[in-house]
Amino acid sequence: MDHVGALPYFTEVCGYNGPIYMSYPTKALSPLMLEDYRRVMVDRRGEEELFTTTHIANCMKKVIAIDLKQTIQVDEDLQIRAYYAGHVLGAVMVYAKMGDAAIVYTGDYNMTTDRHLGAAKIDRLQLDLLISESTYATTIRGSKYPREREFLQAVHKCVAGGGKALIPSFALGRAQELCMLLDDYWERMNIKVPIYFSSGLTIQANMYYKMLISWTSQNVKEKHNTHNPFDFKNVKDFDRSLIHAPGPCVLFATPGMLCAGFSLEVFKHWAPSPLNLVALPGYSVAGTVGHKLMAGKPTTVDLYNGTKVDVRCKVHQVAFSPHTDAKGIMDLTKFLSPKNVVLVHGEKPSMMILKEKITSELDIPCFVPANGETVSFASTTYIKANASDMFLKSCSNPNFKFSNSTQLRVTDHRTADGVLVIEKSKKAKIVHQDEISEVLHEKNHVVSLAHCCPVKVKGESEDDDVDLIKQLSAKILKTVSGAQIHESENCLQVASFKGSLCLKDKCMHRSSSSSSEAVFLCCNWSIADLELGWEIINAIKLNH
Amino acid sequence: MTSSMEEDDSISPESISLDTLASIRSLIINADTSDSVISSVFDFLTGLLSRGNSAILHHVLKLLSDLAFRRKELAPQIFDSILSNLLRLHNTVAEASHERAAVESLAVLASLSERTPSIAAALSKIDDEVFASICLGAPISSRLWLLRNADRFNVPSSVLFTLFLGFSKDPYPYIRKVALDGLINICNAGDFNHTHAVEGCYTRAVELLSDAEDSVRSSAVRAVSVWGKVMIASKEEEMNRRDCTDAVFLQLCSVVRDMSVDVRVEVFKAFGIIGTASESIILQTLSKKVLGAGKGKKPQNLLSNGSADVSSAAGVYIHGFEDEFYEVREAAVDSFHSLSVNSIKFPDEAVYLLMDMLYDDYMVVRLKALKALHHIADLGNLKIQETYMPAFLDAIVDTSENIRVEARNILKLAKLPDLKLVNKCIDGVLKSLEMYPQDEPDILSALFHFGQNHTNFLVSMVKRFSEKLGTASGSKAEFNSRQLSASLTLIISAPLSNKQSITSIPPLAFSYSLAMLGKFSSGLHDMMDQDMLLAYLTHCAILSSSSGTEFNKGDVFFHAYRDSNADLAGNPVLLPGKDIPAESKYMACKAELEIGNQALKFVNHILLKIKAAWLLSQSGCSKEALRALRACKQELATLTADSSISKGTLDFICQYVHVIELLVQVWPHFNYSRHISTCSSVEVELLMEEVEIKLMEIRCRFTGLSTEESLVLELVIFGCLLRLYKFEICCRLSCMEKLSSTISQLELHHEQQCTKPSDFLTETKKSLEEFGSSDDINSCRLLDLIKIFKCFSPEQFTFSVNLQCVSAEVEVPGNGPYSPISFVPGLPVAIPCEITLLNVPRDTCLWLRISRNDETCQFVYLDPNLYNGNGREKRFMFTAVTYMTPRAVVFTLRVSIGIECLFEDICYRKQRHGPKHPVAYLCKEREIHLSLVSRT
Repeated sequence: MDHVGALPYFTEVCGYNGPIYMSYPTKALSPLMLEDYRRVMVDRRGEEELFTTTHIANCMKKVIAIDLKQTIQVDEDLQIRAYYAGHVLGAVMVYAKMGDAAIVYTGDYNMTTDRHLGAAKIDRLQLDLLISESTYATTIRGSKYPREREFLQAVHKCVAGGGKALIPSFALGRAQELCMLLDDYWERMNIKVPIYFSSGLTIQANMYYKMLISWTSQNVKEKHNTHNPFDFKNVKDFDRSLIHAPGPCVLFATPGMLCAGFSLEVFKHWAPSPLNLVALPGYSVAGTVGHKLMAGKPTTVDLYNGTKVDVRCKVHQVAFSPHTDAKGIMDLTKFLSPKNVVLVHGEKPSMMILKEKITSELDIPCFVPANGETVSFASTTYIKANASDMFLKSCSNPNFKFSNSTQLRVTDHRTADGVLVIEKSKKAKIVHQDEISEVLHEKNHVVSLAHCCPVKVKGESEDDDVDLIKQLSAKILKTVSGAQIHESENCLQVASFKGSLCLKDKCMHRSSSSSSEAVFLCCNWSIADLELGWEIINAIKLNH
Repeated sequence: MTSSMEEDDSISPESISLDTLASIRSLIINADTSDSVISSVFDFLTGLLSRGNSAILHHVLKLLSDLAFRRKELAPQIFDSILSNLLRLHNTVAEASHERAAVESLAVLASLSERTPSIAAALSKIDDEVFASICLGAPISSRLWLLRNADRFNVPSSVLFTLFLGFSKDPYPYIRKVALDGLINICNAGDFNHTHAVEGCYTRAVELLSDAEDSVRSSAVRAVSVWGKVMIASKEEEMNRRDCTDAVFLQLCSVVRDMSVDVRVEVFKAFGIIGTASESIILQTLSKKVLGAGKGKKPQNLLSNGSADVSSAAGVYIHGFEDEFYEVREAAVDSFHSLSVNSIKFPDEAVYLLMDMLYDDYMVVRLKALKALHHIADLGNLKIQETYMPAFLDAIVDTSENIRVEARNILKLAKLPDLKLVNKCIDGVLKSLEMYPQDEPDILSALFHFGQNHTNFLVSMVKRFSEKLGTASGSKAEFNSRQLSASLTLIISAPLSNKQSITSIPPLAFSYSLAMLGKFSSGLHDMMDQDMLLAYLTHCAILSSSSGTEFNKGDVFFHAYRDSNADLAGNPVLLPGKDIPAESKYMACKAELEIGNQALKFVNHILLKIKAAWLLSQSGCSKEALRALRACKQELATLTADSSISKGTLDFICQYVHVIELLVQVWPHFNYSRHISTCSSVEVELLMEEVEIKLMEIRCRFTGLSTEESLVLELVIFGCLLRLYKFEICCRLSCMEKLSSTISQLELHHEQQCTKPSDFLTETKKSLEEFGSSDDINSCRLLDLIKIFKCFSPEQFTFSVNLQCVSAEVEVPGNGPYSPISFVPGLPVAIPCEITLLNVPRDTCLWLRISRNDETCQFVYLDPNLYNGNGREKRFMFTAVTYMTPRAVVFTLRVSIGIECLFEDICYRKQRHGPKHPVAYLCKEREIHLSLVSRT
């Protein structure tokens, strides 16, 4: 009801005209739910009718059904895709891509599987924004098994003592879940106490469940091969006359929360007996009888029409819910790692706590906008660029670099070699870094170092430059191990290091002009051999 | 065709149409194509290899590989030409089209070398450099193939490592995945443990944990676990190693909530590989709430990415156990098991979580959970609570046999806190017994253990049993019902763990158990063999009926049991097969072979009982032992010989039991003190004498003894030892003589029979050698020897048909108190004897012994000619003449037939007439009545 309840009003009364997308199960079950809702609202409580049966029918005609992971191009810019969300049959999370911005919007979802539905499942997507529900923003639940057991034991204890167990629930979801649990348990423990479903609606819903096996959990799907798990063996239809029938029974009655209708009526009859049990699954809105029962241990409860009922029966709160808990929200957020998170559908204080947690632990900006508040985010924008042939070619071949400073790291340089060039009035282009100068019509600048250092000559034969060079190279060889020295007439070369006898009187690279008679070796070398160059010079200087 | 082929040689590769190639292919696959054509096809194709463009090359390579497979003799040549072409391609300029051809060549070469072992070595010509350069240059689709098939080439792992690590950076997810898989393989091959490389690889794998592609993430998880494991192992210090383990574990925890099933399965498997973590982390994995201790605490991370702190481990196992997919749950339970193996402290909460898995819808998961629980129970950490009892009981009656077995294994170790649970549990087991009668032996064993562990609830169990008995006693069939035997096992085990409890067990229980010995022993074979069980039961039966006064004696037995089962009692589940004594195995198989053969089965049982009785007597309960032996004798007496067992055998066993009985009577005198009163000393002397006579008798009277001979000889030795121990100097010399001669006889016997001498024999021989000629015999050593004596081993009974008892009958026809033989005092009188001999062998000395009441006797030699004929039975008349006619009116003589024991060396009778050796008697003495001749 909190999902599609307002849809006919929105489309038929408010006049929304856009497309409506629903998953197949939702499309199948919605009319049932809406009709039931309408009846409860109007027939039983006498409230003003918000929409009519025709409204529902018309509304449903506009609905387009989609399947899981089916990508729909809604219009030129908007693209949507549904992912499984658990929660109830047909619940989905929606991935929407508007231009370059991508978001995931999740309504209610469940991160752990229950008896009949799977857990939410989504791909790892590149997201700008995640909008998540946060019904249980601070709750962290333990294992589901003890909770299931508590429920089963409470019910078992009640029927074993000859009592009647009332489970007020909505027709869809919890009813099937709990019934499946009970049915299994009944089989296992060989209990013969009847389980009743109060309304035709639930029976009808069961029928849909049977058809929509592909939307259930792995467990149900596999069981389905031998026996449809929604063919409950111990379940029977309830007849009004059975309210006062003797003997134990379990009854699923609509609606939940004991807000009105048949469940409330049964409650009126059963509550005074201490043998009986009321098991309340899930959440009850404040003001309902369900909420009163959960809030404390009332001895009498005011019904809506002023009558009072003695409550002597036991009350059990079923502690499992199809909503994810705080850990589930954190897990989903962590898995998707979106750029921003927005929390909706929750209570403000607990949402603030969760927001704090997401911001601090996951380091993702998180927002909790109030109704009507606008939040804006920077979204990713993509630029289309042409790639040069050389870049494409280099991209097709791997280009690993291993660095081994503190630990072995591997990097692939193929994309790093690309340079994005955006020129005015031209389309963006990616070129290889080797091409860049060409593209920009610029020359390559090379950083090189130069130094002119004095060299003292030992021998007297002044003209013999070759000798000097030889002497120097011997010196270099001594200190710089493994250097390959190329000698020519009056210069020597080690890798990019070039040294030649300086014939100028005043060399700009000479640092000091102290000893005028000295011979100078003018050296230059590239930045790549920075250290080597200085090493050589030191070697030369050292041998004064 | 051949000519056209040769013409083709001159045409340019570009002009070759696919049709030409197709016709070449048809030539290749046609088995009838002549060799000359094939060789020119080969030449043509190899020619094309070097000239062809890439489009043609693809087809040429295919054709060449076809050719190689059809014409095996060409394979080496084809291999060589493709290889040389490949190397040529490699050396020329790299061109995209060439790279594709290179990869295809590699594929052909690899498959060729795999099919033809002779050229496999040549594959190493493709060195790492060639392979790496092809790998780097290859287009994407081929790259995938290359990386997947890298291990088919002889590329050193260091090169592969570099390649794989590099390609883990590839933009294509499938390449990344294959690269990771390659890294995992290298790690598993185990020859790569350079620290930098390991850490680098681990780091890279961790980075890929957040890959966008599911398959890459799942491979990354595996890579993290295997390289993490290597990294942990490489840490020298203990502290470092623990931190490192935690870091890897937490790293894995961080992906446990992945949306992909494969990744989650891999994560849990990875936990199993890592196998351990700090206790705080394990605790955290059991709770979704971040525990106080772990909050914000980060392990000193050695690696750059310290993103994982303890909180990421929150509720890992809760998530794993409630996962939608059974594969994940199974992996989770499995890894939980390995964690519990490696962690000394494993919290109770963990156990409860596991118990929840017993409700799982999938059999695999339940089975794994039970296995893990069994292990935990083994460590003594299992407490079954009421909440989980139904799950457990469901497992006991599960449709799957494996599950039932596991559940019962747990039951054997379980200790339940209160009676209600115990009763529930027993009910469950009995129910499963009804549903699955085939499980009976194991169920009995489980109940036996269970009973042992719950002696404090014995009284109520006994009550239950009595009720069962009350309802069952009506009909005989019901008595044997499984329910009853199950209840019995439950009760009778109690005294093993709590001796005092025996008083609360009705003796009836033990007697009934004796009746179900076979059934019980098959169930309890893992704890005790059948004779042990029998001894135990008889002992308990006696104790429980004797209202506990004999507890002290009982102690001896229980100690004996405990000693022999010392390692069993504490840890019953850890019983490997070796603990089953070889003897009982032998017995079991023998019994199985001859199943259906009632008499033999019965005899086997009796043998067991004899052994049990011997054990009982050794533990000081000689009265009980005697009672049991007498019962045995009675049972034997009721048996009749049939095809399976000869009369001789039965006689032999009878005699044997008798000897054992005597020995059991002797035993207490030896066991307690050496110095006892004269009166008992005389008694012992008499008993010993009887033993010796009996043994001698057995030796003479049975022919066809095979292995049984050793039985008797051992007993003789045993007798000698007893004598030596007890009777001081007077008879030492003769005793020693007898001992050594018997030992050598027995050794000879073993040699002839090719059997293994018993420990008793070898020990005795050893000691005898030690004693040597010295007069001083170490009495302690003697006592040790006496205690070694194990009575017998069942193999010693062969039940051969040849085993026959020599017997005889003497009859004096017509003689009786009223028709006496007349005699004249002082004159010899002839006694006409009708003698029947059975199974008497040739070359024996038979004597007719005639004795008078005053113990004077006369031996009459029986002429062998009288009876040395063929046939088992001989009957003849013999007239014995006796001179012993006193002056009397009437008197009686007694006659019997004896056989001279030639093997007894000692000549104790130095008479002129009569046997030189001791005589063993073959029949009962027959009275002959004589009266004075009446002169009428």
